[in-house]
Amino acid sequence: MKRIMIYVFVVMWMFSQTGCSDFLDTKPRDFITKESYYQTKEDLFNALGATYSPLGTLDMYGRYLSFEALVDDLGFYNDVNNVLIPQNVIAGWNYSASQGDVKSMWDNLYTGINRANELMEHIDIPDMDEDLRKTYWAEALFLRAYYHFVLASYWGDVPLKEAATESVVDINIPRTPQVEVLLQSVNDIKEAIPFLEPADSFSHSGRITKTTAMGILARIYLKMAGEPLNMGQEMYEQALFYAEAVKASGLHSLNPSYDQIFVNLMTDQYDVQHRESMWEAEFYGNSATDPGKGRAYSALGTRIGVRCDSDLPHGYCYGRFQPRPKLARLYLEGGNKEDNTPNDSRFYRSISSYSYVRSGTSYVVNNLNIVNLDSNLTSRYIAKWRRIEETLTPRHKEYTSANFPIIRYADVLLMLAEAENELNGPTEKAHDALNEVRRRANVYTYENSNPDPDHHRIMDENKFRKVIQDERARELCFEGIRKHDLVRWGIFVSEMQAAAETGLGYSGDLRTRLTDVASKMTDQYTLFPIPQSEINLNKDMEQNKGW
Amino acid sequence: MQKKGGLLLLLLALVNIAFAQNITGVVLDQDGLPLPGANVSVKNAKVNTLTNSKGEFNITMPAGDQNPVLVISYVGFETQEIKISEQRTVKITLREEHNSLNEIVVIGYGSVSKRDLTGSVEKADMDAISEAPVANLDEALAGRIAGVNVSFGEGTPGSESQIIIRGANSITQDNSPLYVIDGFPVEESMSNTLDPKDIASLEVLKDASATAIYGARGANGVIIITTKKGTAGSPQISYSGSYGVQRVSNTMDVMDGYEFVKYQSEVRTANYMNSTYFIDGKDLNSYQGTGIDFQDHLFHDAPIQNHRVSISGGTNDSKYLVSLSNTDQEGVIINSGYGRFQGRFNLDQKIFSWLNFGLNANYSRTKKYGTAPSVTGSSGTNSLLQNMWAYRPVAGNDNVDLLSDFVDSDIDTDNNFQVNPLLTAENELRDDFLKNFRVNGYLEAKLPWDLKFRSNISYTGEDQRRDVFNNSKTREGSPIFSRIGVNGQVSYFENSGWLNENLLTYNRKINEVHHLDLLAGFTMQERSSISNSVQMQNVPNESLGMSGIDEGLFNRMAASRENWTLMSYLSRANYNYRNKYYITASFRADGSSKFPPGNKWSYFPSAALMWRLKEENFFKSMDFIHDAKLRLSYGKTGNNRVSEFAYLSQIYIRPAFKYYFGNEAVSSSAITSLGNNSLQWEETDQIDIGLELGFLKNRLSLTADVYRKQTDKLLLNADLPGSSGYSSGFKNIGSVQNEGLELSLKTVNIRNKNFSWTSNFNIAFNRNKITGLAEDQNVMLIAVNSINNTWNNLPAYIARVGQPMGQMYGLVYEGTYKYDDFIKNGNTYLLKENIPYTRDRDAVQPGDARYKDINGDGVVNMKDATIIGSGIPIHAGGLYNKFTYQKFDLSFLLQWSYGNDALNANKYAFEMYSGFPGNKFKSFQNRWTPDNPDSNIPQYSDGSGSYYSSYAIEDASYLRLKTVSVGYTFPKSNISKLNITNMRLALSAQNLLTWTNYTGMDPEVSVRNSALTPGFDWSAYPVSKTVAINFQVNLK
Repeated sequence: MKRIMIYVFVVMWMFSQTGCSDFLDTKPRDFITKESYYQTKEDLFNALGATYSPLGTLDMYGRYLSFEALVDDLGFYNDVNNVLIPQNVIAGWNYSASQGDVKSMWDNLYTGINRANELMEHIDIPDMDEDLRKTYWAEALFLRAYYHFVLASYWGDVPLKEAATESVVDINIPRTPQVEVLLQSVNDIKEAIPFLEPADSFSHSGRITKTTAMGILARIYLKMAGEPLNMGQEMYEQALFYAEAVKASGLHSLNPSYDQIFVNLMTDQYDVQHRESMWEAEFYGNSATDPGKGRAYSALGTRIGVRCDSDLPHGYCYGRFQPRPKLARLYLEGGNKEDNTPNDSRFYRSISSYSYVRSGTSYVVNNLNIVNLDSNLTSRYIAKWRRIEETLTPRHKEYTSANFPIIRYADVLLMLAEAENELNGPTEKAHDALNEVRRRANVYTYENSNPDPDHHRIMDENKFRKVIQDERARELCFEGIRKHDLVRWGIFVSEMQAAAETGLGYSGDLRTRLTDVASKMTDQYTLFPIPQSEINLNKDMEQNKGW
Repeated sequence: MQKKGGLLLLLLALVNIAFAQNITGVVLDQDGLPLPGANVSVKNAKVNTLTNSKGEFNITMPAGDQNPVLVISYVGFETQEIKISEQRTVKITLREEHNSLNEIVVIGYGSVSKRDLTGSVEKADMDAISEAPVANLDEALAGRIAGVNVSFGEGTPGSESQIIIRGANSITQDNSPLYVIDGFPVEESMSNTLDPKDIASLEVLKDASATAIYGARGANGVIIITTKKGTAGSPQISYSGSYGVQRVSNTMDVMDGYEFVKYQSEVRTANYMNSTYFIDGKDLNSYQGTGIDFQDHLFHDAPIQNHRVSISGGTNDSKYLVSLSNTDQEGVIINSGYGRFQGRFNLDQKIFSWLNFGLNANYSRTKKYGTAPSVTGSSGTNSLLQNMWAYRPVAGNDNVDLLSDFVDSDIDTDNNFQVNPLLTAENELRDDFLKNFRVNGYLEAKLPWDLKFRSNISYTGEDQRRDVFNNSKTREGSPIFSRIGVNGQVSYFENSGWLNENLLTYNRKINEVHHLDLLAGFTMQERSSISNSVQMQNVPNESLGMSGIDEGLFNRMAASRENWTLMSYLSRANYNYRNKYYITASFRADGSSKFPPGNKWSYFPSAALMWRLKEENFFKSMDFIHDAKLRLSYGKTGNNRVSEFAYLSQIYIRPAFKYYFGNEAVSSSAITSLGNNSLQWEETDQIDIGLELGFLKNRLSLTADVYRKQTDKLLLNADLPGSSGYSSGFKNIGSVQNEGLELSLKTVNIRNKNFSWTSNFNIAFNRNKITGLAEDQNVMLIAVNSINNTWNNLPAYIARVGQPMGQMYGLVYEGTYKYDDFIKNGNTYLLKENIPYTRDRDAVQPGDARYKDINGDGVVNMKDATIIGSGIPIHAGGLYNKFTYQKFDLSFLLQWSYGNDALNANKYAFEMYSGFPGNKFKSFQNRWTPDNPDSNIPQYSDGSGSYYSSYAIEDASYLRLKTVSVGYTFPKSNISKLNITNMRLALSAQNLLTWTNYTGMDPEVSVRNSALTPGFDWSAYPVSKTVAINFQVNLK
């Protein structure tokens, strides 16, 4: 008996002894902990990939921040049912703070900021080449600045996050005024530039380079120069400085074929000769070829593109976005042939010259006549991204692998012209930049040698400004920049109202589509509402005016 | 002298030996039938025996007892003592026990008699529970025990209910109790792995004195389930079977063909009507009496059956029980159901006089199948019942076959993902197979010095397989809607765990005055889980089903391996003085791998005092009081329900983070969840005062408990603002208080030879209050998945400090805008100046929904949202009555819940304009129109926006005739010739009648069931009523 007793106590004692030390010390087998990561340069590279990845999602340039949330005076959203259903579709401009897309866009950007901060905070751990370390760091710093710039552009005053979120407790962050966010972005980008690689060190446009960063700087300075911040001449000087620095680098030029820019985007190709498309949001594969990526796909070509209800042979496309008559007129006025046939090489890239019509069980191409533009307006689509050019197979109903051009050299040239005009008037330099863009489009240039007096060199600063505004519409329409341009020029509400009025000449559904969205534009709509979830959870957060 | 004395003693002994006698006898029940296995012992002597199969016994009386007394006891019967004088044979008739204080109650790591219970522990009446014609125990548990709230959310066959004891402690984490099945503690309900008829007893541990012995897992209460064991005697074979039919208890009234076409003609263009409905010479009147009610086709009467066979028997040294059971239940929605096969083996073996060994093994295999109707996607047209109600009842074109067309030709498939609900139910394959194996073995040794040592080793293994297959006739697999074509997914989950418990007990009575009972133990437990799943898309041969998915394209694979460990020391002391003053103290230390180093260990003490007033002299004289006792307890318990490594920041490489540089993928890695290095246990302090009274020989017994629970350091999976870069993270924040009163009253109203009537009434009041939230956060808003993307993001519930959990949140509905609210200007109506508006003032029209402008700023928006309802009842309870007349018995259980609201989201979609296409409830016909300007149902094209509002908050109090059973037990005299010891035939019914004002399908609904979001109704699986016939026979 006693022996059993002793055994019992020995067993119990043994368990308790061995137990304490390691029985409770389980190790995760399913994931890597933060503490054990960031040990090699590969770890840092992988973390850098994740810092870029918010760019390549539906929440950013795959759908919402490339076109869906940016319906403007040049295009309209044609799904009349969804326009009428309150809060249903962000392109219907009838959302509220609790609309899911508003939240997912916001969350996605801050996810990127947090990843950038995490990467920078762990940058010193691995043993690696110092230059490479500095490059990764600079790219992360740039991305953090860029995400902040996008947030400030869409939401105004937003939390400025310069350190990774460390604790589940410190989550109440007040808004930083828009101007301070932008200034911080500018400072960060300037700090990053010396360490970024030059554009010719990559055979693609996915990575951030010195000149990309300069182009984005010019864009931010122009924003600060314009409405509502109006920070004055110095902003134009800086914008001009960086736009000229891009030009002076000699690494970028215009692709002689405007079409080819978009064909490249559609086919996953890169133009390493001209590098006009300076920085692209990269998409690869669709959910059939690369499944399981959640929201990391591109809807360029499926939501926006030439409508086709059938998958073959053109590729299914919802064709939800169509051009307003205003854009067509801009092309016609901007330099067509005498008989009004299109001359501007951008015209038929931006506005389809055809539609698909059902013929029995298949679809055929229906060529549209440019002369009676108004009557066939409903058949025209925004056609920069075309599935017919898609090379990825198998095709997928919802997604393509089309990249999105975040900044193009043509934009830099037009920014240069605009900044120069604001500072020094319509100088030779301003004209040269403008004409370079127009020449590529195969339309007349503004020169004294031009036989048509209307197209002579522009002597009036205001007139030049208007020309630049229209040129940006022709060159950059549906590339995610128009709304911001209108806002900084202070003409967002007036242009949208004017666009609404053009719809009054039509009837039925078309009238509704053209006018309903545009007519309710007020200053409120220059900014998104802060997502309701952020208001609920972040005690220091306040809602934007009007929402 | 000394020698003489010794001699005298020897002589006396001899005399006594001469007196020593053999007593034989027979033990019978009230019907005069023998009771095998009854315990016969001699008082104050260590002599005992059991009766044989004929109820006979033979016992040798010890010598030297002048007034020997035989004690005859048998479970379920009153113990009898008889003095033995001259007679050598005795005949003893035992009387069935009613509400005895000697009843054994299982508590944590032991058992005590009800009389000596110091904590709040309630034993369920398993006889009454097993009358209910249900597949799982949970379904029969509601209303049986005070303070035990069972909510099953929706009527899906085989789904597990959520049981909450004494109100919810935790805000975001699981509030279900700890289940201890034959000694094995599991944190998830396993009750559906058992046939309810295999359960011998079920105890609910409610106060901290009872639960603190389970330490870190005891805070939500403990349910101890003990399965049946063999009893000594010749083999007993028992069969029980039931067959029943279930029918959906309620349907909704949707518009018929005429009403629908009339509605369409009012809201659609004439062009549309003329090309869609008014064709082939038809006009509105042509639709009189037409229309399909899809509810008639999607719902059907479904059978439910159960069969169980068991064999048990053994000797005093060796007892066994083997049982097999099979349950088959079809759901009231076509192509859904549940089935279970279960086998069990139980053995108790005496090895030496001081050593016992036992084994208990249970295997069960369950299958659940059928699509889940309340699941929502981003589109509003994904939920099955929603789909069904919205399906138009009639098509104008005679070539359209609404019943068999996969997609209604009238819908725009770009935005409306509605598909034929019948085909959805038939074609969506959702199979869930679960195999559960549990084995417990123990060794129990009696040691010197009144010590007893017991060591248990248990193993639980659970294999689950989930098959999902979407063929081309399903929304997710059809080329019209699917992004990935015909697809299938198979998932495997493997959970296994082992437990070792080593317990030392010491039990000693000193001079019949002091009674000491000590327990010390050490336990270790580990649980591992493995999951793997793979999804394949574009499966070419859909006719092959699941076995053909390997021919498709790879979509994704998931794999995970996790484990947690728990190590505990536990101890308890019970002491009582003269069965009058009792004290119980327990202490447990738990160490868990789920928490970061430094926070792994925590300590859970408890104490209870009990005073048996009845033992006091002044009470003894009061004969009408049978028993009286007063209890007081206090203790601390914990909750550890977080995932294994919630305290660590986790880095994953996921396809969703993938990025490409020049078309080359980077294996992007990112932190997916934010760790918390200070994570620790949730702690609940509970104080309980209880009073137990028995009157008139316990024919009336009352138990009353008041309690207060304070839960602090809540484990909260708190939503984080997007600006943090994360969506949620675990924190120890916030606190919740629950206080309440529980009353149970058991009465024997009438008891005579032929007729008896007993009642069992219980009622519980619980008040829940959030006493703190995150940091200095005052309010937490909770959105739930419901109608569509927009609604999914609107807060529907609110948790506010100082208020209970589970409150509904939204605008206060004030009816519609009436003509009087406007200034008429030509043909347009302009809202008067001082009247609040929801959108632009200009856009508001007569007939639009009007909400209360609570903050008075003239505009109605989310700033005007307020608390509009509560999903928590004020009180809930049950009343069970049982009547027996000769061999007939009738019993019924009434169960109720009072004061809780339901959020009937179906109403927003089907009684209000929500942009939803398709059919509506009949009540929508009464909406505002210029001809019906007094209506408070908004007009058709109301554009005031989507808001949860008081419009669809309804009182969901109910009183339900939960279970009814009428039975006939065959007289033993007739059947005993056939070696039948018991035979019974019964008719039983479940959910037969419900009294409620709720207009939805069922007031008990809660499709997003959690402490924060109770009572949400959206496309719920309907509750059914069941009528079944039951037969039971025991053979010998």
